[in-house]
Amino acid sequence: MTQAEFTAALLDPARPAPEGLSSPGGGAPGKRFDVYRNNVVVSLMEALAAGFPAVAALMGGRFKPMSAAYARAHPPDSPLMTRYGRRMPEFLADEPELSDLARLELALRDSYHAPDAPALDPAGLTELPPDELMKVRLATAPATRVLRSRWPVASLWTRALRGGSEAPDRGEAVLVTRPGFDPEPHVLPPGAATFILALEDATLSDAVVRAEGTAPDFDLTATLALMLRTGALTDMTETT
Amino acid sequence: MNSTKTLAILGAVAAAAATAGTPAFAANVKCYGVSLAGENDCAAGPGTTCAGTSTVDYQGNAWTLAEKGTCESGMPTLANKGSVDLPSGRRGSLEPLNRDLPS
Repeated sequence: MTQAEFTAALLDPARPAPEGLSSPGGGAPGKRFDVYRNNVVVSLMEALAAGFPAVAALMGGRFKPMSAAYARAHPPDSPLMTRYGRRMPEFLADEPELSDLARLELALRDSYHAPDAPALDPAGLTELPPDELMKVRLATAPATRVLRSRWPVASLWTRALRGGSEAPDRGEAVLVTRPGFDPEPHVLPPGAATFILALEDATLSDAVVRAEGTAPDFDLTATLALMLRTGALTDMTETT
Repeated sequence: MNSTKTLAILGAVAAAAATAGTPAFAANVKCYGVSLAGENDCAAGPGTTCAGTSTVDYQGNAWTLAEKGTCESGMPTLANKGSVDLPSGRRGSLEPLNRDLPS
């Protein structure tokens, strides 16, 4: 028996127990192997339910069979279970709403495990002379994530896990920040996602220009206030 | 960049800084020994032992976010949950405690 044969039998309940197993006392090992292979898949299903609580809540009874199918199609490729389920968005591709919700839940988990970074002190920004402020480069914290969806993913997530009103009938851009120890999703106003992503390679004023290019009513005050308040910004660099 | 635009950005930055104040999380700390069974915080995902895993009330090694300065009292203010009156002389702690551990 090779390791590959053992793994194949582990994930396919229709296969017989792999050759070469033995039971104490010389009995047939099939039943013991069945118990083991059941426990393996059930533990992976539980890991997926822990990792995708909102998807699980929305799918209801359909989540269990889906997660069993996922576990068999994509067994863990790392002993670290904290990141298990990375391919869930593509696995759910036929249900784009759930697929994007899975993307959000992965982003929240990534944010949780990202390194710490001190938040930018707002006073540093207001003390800059105007010409330097225009050219300043703002760095987002490692725990910051931006996600765009054609679906109201943040509202669906909130409703699934915390209750509340019906999700709106429109797409949402979401900012994930970690203001403390736990990540939080925030629905972004128009243009804000473009602005935050532009900070990667643009100065403050250029990022504003790009955001206004996609959304003429881009609200810089609201976007910056949200980012400062939730620790989404960590550093500023003056450019010349 | 024209000066009207510069002024608009200046104004927005000043307004944002003013409303943002100090970052919200500076006001919260991990507070041990104050959460009810199954209501401790954490969102680490599968394979970890945290959120909602405390099995006894006020479990000493489980934490919940509390407002800074209130944790080590007999009545800490928990983030998003309001204040809690700890029974029998218990106090919260910034470090894990050895009391109220599950047997």
